[in-house]
Amino acid sequence: MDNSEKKTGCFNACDFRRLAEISGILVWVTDSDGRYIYVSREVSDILGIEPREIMGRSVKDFLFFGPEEKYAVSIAAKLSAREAFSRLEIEGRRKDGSQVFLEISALPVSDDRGCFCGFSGIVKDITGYKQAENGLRSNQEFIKSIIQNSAVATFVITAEHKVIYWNRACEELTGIKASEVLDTNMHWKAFYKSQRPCVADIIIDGRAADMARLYPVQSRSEFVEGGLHSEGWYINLGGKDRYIIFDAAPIFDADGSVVAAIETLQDITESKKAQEELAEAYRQLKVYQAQLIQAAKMDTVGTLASGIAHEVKNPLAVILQGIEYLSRNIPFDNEENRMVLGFISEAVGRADRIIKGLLDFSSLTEMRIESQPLEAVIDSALLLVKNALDRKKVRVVKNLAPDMPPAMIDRNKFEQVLVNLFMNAVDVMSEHGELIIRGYGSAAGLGEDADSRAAVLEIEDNGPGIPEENLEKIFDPFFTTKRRRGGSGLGLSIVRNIIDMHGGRISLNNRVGSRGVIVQMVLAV
Amino acid sequence: MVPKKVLLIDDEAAFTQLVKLNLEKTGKYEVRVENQGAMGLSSAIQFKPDMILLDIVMPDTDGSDVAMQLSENSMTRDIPIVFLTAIVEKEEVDDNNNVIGGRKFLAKPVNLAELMRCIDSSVK
Ligand SMILES: Nc1ncnc2c1ncn2[C@@H]1O[C@H](COP(=O)(O)OP(=O)(O)O)[C@@H](O)[C@H]1O
Ligand SMILES: [Mg+2]
Repeated sequence: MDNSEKKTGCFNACDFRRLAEISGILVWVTDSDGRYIYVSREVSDILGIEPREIMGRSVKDFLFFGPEEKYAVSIAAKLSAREAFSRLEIEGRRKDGSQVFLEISALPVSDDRGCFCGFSGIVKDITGYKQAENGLRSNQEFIKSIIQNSAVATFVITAEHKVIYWNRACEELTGIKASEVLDTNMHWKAFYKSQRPCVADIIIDGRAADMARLYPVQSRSEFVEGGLHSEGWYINLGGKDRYIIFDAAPIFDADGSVVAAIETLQDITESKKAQEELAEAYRQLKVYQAQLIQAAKMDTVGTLASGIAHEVKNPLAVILQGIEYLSRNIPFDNEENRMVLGFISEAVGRADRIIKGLLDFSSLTEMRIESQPLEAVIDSALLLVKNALDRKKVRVVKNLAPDMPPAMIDRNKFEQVLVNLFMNAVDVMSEHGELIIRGYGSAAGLGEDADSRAAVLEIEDNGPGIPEENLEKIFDPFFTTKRRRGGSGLGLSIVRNIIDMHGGRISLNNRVGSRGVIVQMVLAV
Repeated sequence: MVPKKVLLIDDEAAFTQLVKLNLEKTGKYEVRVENQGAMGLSSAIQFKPDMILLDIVMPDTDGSDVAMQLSENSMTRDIPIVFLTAIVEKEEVDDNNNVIGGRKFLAKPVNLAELMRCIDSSVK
């Protein structure tokens, strides 16, 4: 054993070297001038440089990490101040130019007398950790950018219901910026006026049983285990009414516990509308079909009725003649015979009236246009709609000029016209509406000749009137804005038909002053 | 008084028989019955009635055809015709003084008094 070893009581350079070599750590030592006097051979493993290439060089010229100025300045400063430094992370280059991450620690070394005699230091290759760490970070970045750039509106909440992702599509759809909800549990704000669980919250809380109560249209996910689905109309979401499909799914950690929930929103308003329109069109088709069947039926009833009428009236004629014969040819003194004949003849009369009723019912009896005072028809039509008028507390104002002439009308058909017009008026009026019926004679008649006169009848309501875009269509068969309330859209087309059959004119005044609609009819007198 | 000669063309045999009985019982009419529309014209030519009661709906030749044939023949052209039919309504006929579209009508079923009134007014 050599003396100096004993004197210092610590290991000598030789031991140091051996320790360094078995430790696999890059160890370096400089003299007081800052020249490398020892560099362990790990330097070749870590940087691809042989120790002899470094020995004798100044630390100012070679700091293990290549040309990175930002590290060189701070380390050089510490070295010249003879300050220790520990676990400084730096990024360097191997001899072949590849990237390497190093952790450097160094201590100023003094001799027995306390004189500075150089630096000793170690360098650890942390490239592996660093890359793993960067990998992790870039993995997170990657996930974030997947979510962020997804065209599907998506947000993610943690097990504590805190929003951690709220992507651009979600901002777009909801009109709520990520900055407003990130790190909060206020995501419900995007959809509801007051706080209530979103589907993702229900997943976090594991309360799938609440779905039915909170969402009218909902189901378990078809695609994701533990996922939930709901859909519905959302009013004024991001500036418009939308039909949204929500799908939420749990995110599990390695232990299988739920750490987050991801929820996607899909706006299918357009296709939903198209679907609803299709359904509506289909329903309308059904209604038309039913109407056509009904019309065909009525036609059959009509044909049938007239057929029956004819077939029954002939035997009735025979019976009546038979009665006439018998009543003249049976003995005068037989009261009984006369009574029986009386019964038979009364029964024939009744059968005849029933046949007439049947014909009236199927309204096959043709138009019978006669000069009639309009007031009586108006009154009987009003009586027919009395219920509807009363229900809405509509005030009826009848304003018929004394000089209004009787008009040439078919009473039944014209009554039908009035009932349709009255009902249309009642339908659009709010409570305490006013229905005005105005009648007067007009010198300007229907015909060409100057002195022909006409009767004019106006029916006025104080409803909202008819939107401009519908004006052209209201006389079309089947056009109605009351489909949902059972409107057939046939009313006005029947009205026009009947007025045409009378050789009359019908026109419409929409929203004059504060009034709703005025229907004006001009009839021949 | 000479009885008025009435030709009744109608496919309903029972009806025609009863009308004939009833009218002739009054002593004021002589009635000839024809149950086939197609024979209407020849019956009219033979019988030379003062007026004709003509049904409309008949199985072979209907009343309007018979009326056409009668109007086209010089021997029958001037004989007044009254359509006695179930296809018109009593009210329609009454309201229009028995005339619809220039033709005279009687609605079935008809009683004897109406029938006689109509025949009498048709024959001058
Ligand atoms: N007085 C009115 N005021 C406003 N709108 C009316 C009025 N009358 C008719 N309309 C419009 O015209 C449409 C067609 O009317 P109509 O042919 O009677 O059918 P329906 O009453 O069954 O809808 C109605 O659905 C309504 O939109
Ligand atoms: Mg209507």
